[in-house]
Amino acid sequence: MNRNLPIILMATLFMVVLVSGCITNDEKANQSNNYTKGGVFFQYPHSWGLAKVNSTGGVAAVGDPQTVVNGKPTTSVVIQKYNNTNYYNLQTAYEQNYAKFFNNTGKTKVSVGNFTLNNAKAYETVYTSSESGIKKKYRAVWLQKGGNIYVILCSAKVEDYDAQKANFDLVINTFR
Amino acid sequence: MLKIVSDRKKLELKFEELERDYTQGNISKKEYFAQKRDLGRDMETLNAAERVRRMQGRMGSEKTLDHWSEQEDESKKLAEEAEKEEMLKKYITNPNSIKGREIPTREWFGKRAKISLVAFIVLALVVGTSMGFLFINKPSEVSSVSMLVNDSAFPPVANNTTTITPTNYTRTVDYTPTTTTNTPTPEPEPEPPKPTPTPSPCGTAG
Repeated sequence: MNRNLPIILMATLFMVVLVSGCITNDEKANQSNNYTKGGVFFQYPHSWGLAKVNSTGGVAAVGDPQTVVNGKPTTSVVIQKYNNTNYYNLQTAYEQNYAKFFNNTGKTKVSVGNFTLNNAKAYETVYTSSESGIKKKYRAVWLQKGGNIYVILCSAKVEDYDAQKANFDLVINTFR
Repeated sequence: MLKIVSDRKKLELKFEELERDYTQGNISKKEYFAQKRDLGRDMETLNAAERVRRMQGRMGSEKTLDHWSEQEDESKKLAEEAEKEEMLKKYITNPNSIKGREIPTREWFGKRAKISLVAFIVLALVVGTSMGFLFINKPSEVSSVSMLVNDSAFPPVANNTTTITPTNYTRTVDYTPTTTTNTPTPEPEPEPPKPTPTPSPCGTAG
């Protein structure tokens, strides 16, 4: 029995090394990256990457590299800063923006709502769009940070949208 | 026979000497018992040899038949013992003969096992760390795929400028379409001013 003890210990250690070294996929799925630039901070999924942003008032953009079509990720989140030349408050800016947003466009409103995020009110609009031949679903969350109004625009293909909800929530809930 | 007797005496002397040394404290207890054991063994061997010789009749004397039969049994027994003793001497190693050699002890095995265990742990650590580094996904701060996002939460603002150049003047029309689907129709081009006919100074009356 005593002679076998080292062998048993070695075998146990070997198994521990194997288990700890190889079975880590679930952990990785929960990992996230941090974005800190331009006065904003948020977390985004580990498998996503930074993207160039070409949108009006664009501050940052992240996307899933696995969904890139023609250089554009179909699953992405873009942070935009509202150009508040009229000094609107958040609600007014939000309402003004969507006053004519869906008129004679390829966009279809799905839902609107508001919620509290980090003790501050946030407004959201969910809509679909079929621009550039791909039917996508968008979720635009409007919130105020300091004196600025930001919009977090999350988008994904309609069929992928529900699966990406957790990733969108990660960005929205960690936005500072 | 004489040799056996002298050997016995020698052994007895050695015994006495040993007892004396031990009493005087010249030798350790351990050594005393070891030597005593050796001497005892020699003495037993001697006794056995003596019995064998007696059995062979060299030391014989006139006895009764019963005596001889008993003695025969005894001699048989002694012969067996002697044989056994010889076998023991032949095949059982004397502890003194292996005194200088290092016998692998349980402790030695333990040391080797400990060294192996430590080596294995170190190896496992190195292998585990290497595998971890090999399989871990580095945080993709910069995406390996170049991506461009141009989605916007704001309505599109387009500032298109159409320039219309009539014959004699230029008119610029600025418009901002509210939708991308409607094609704005430019205003009809104004007719250029008609040139006023100038009367001929040397007109002929018709």
